[in-house]
Amino acid sequence: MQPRSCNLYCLSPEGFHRIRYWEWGLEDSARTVICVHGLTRNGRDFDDLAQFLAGRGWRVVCPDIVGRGESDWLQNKENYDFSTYVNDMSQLIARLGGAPVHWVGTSMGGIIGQLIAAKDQAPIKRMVLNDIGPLIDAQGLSRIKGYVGNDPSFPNFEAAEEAINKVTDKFGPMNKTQRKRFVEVSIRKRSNGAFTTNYDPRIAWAFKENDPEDVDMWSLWPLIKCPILVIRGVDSDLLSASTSHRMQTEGPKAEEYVLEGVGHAPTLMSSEEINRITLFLEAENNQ
Amino acid sequence: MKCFHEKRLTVLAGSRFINIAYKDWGDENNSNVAICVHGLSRNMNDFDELAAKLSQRWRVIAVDMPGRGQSDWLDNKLAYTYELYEVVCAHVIALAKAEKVTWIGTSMGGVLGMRLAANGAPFAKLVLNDIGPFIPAEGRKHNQANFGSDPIFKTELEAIAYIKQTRSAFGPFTEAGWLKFGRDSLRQLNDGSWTLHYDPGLASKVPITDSDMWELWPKVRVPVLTIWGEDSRLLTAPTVDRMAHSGPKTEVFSLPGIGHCPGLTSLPEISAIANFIER
Repeated sequence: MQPRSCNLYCLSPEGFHRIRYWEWGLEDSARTVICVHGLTRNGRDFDDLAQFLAGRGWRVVCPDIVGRGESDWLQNKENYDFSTYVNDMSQLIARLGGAPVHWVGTSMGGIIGQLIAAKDQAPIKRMVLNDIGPLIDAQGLSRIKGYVGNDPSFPNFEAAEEAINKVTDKFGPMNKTQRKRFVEVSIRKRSNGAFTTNYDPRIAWAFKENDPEDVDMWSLWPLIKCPILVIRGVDSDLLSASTSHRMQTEGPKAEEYVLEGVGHAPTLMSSEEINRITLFLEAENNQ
Repeated sequence: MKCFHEKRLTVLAGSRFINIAYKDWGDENNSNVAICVHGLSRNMNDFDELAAKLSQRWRVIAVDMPGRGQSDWLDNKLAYTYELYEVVCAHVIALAKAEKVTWIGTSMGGVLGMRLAANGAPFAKLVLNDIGPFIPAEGRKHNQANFGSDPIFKTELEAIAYIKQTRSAFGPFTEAGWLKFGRDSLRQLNDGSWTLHYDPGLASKVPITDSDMWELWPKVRVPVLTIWGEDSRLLTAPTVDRMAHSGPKTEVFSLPGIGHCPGLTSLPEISAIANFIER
């Protein structure tokens, strides 16, 4: 099964930009889930989950957030911010018919999801937060700052592959085929033949220009009304056990699903993860 | 003949989501899409005749902007701004599963069309109904004279008579057209009385001045048709002349004896629009 490749034109303070999204399953399905990737990743990270859900009758939509994958790059780096991403996703929900959707957000995709779900009348029914919560540890952000947006150039694919593998060694679990695709969608060929990362290096401007501090969004948490499943990699340096505990006891009182031996971020590619997510998304009150 | 569906769309408006109402005419999967946006105090019903004609070959989406018709009103009246309307319009453009859409905007809806086009919206063509990049303060003041202070009426007929009197520059309408225009302008309050179908909080709180948007005009890079009521106080002859000779060099369809604003219900108006967008 291959996804349909679709374009959407979104408005930001600098005008319209085009984003690409990958759509799986029946376009007129009554059940739609939007899957949003992490900081430097793109919509193809969800191929396995998407195919499985599409096979169960879901419409699955996986955008490349602006500046990533096959979406446009913005003219002004300052517009790479959550306000732009939230607006783009609101327009994506409109594109899909305007009815409430389910949400799966990995890392940055989970921050976008929380920002949307905390708004009054938010069109989100149920949400999976993959290794992210309302408090993000500065320690993990420092590690990301070390590699993101360095705009590396590699002479060949193998060198690029090695670099990608190095910064994503805590991702997991992935089998050999999954790892191969994960790497392929992470790399882009420059016009001069060199290889580099598949995103606009300027997406990381805020990281580069500021010292990492804890990001605290606890004020949003009680405003979220939809059921939440939080997936936590036990070795994560972005989502701590104590944050996850508080997510389970306050506000929407998340369910928790812990993955042993995995750091930031779980790939949602194993059948165990896929089954757990499916169980949550298809729980009785979402019909 | 009713060949539309009334639908709702969720739109992000600052700190909350609001519901926006629209009429979806024709085949939802048609990739020929026209989006119609009304004037300042008007609503989506103004496009019924045009949409009914176009919808045999087009999907036509006619929208109520926030604070008008069936769309949500804003709690914060200061948030009724062109910036917010543009965000709403971007969501409506997203609704259309087409690479490009054609924009038909009356007055305020035309200002939005120019702003969006200059911002790189995926437009195929633009139709401006009695509006351009320059609007004199005098015309704006006249247009907004009763805006926000429209009274309440005991009966629907009284209210329609008032609308006909205060909006006499609209048209051309038949008697039945006036009745429809009047009814479309009204909402009934809980006590049975009638008032106009918009949030009185929309009325501008700032002094009305000339509105000069000429910087937008060369950034509009799609074919433009301007419908011009020759007696319009909002779109004047010198502006039409400059629109026809600079930037996208608009085509002009003139209506003698009509002011602000052409109603787009007469056959010549509808034909002019259909010919332009289908060419």
